Amino acid sequence: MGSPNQPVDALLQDYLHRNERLRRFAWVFTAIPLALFVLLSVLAAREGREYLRLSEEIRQQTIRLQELQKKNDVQQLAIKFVQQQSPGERPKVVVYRLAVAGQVTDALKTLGYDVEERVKQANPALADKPVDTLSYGCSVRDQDIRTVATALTNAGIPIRRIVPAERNPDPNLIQVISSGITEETQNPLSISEISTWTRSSRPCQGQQPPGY
Amino acid sequence: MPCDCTGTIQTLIDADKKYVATCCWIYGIVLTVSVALTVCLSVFVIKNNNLTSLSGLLANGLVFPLVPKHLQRARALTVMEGLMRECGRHAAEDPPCKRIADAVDAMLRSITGAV
Repeated sequence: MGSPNQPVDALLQDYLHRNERLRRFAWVFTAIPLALFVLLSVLAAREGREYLRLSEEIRQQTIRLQELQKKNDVQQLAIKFVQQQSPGERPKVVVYRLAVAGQVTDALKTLGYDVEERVKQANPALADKPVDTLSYGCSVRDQDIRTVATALTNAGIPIRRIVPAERNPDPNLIQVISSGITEETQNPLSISEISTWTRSSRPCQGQQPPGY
Repeated sequence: MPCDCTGTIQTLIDADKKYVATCCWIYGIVLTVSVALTVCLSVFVIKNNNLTSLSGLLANGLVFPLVPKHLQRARALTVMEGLMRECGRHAAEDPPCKRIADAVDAMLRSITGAV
C-alpha cells in the first residue's frame, strides 16, 4: 500500500504491479475451476453413460420378464386345463435316458407332471435304440397317458407304442422307455391316434394286475 | 506541447486495455471449452438427452466474477481516453492540465490506497 506522500511515478508503478497481479489472479481463478469443471463433467458423463446402459438393460429385462410372465400364464393355463381333465393324483413320469431327459422334463413339467430321471436303471442292451414307448401302471388314467404321449410327440419324441407296465410294480407310474419289442419301422402314433387311444388292459381292481 | 500527465494517462490506458484484453481472452477460452465439452457430451457420451448434454454450457458461469471488474475497467478506460483527448487540447502550462494532473494523482492514490 502506498503512502500519502509518494510521488505519482511510484503510485503508477504500484498500480501497474496491482494490475499485473489482478490479471494473474483472473487467469488462475478461472483456469482452476474450469479444469475442475471439465474433470467433473467427464466423470459425471461416465456415470451418465453407465446409467443409460443400465436403463437400457432394465428395459430389456422388463420386456423379457413380461414375455416370461406371458409364457408362465400360458403354462399355468395348460396345467389348469390338464388338472381339470384329469383331476386327482398325477402319475409320476420316469425317464431312463439322459439324452432325452431334458426334453421330457421340459415338455411335462409345464403340464404339472413330476419327471424323475433313473439313468442308472437304464437297460444297457437297448442303449442304441431311441426312446419310443410309453409304459403305464395299472392305475394311471387314460387321459394322463394321452396327455403325456401328446406332449412328448409335440416335443419331438415320437411314441410308437403305449403298453401296460410289465416290470415296474408302481401302479401310478408312466415310463418313457425304449422297448425291445417295439419295431423301429413301426410308424409313430399320430396326435389323432393318441387322442383316441384307450387302454386294452383293465385298470387296477385293488390287486396287482396280471403281468406283475 | 501537451500536458505533462499525458505519459501517466497513456500508461494507465495501456494497463486497463491489457486487463480488458485478458478478460476477453478468458471469455473466449471458457466459451471454447464449454462448447467443446457440450459437443463431446452430446455426441460421444450422452446421446438422446439434450438437457444433460447441454450441461457443458454451465462452464460459462465461471466468468461471471470477472464481469464487474471488467466493466469497471472499461468505464475507467473511457474516462482515461477522454482525459487523454483533453490533455491533447491544452498546452503544458495551461490551468486545465494542472487540474487533470491532480485528478489523475487523486485517482491513483484512491486506487492504490495512498490517500
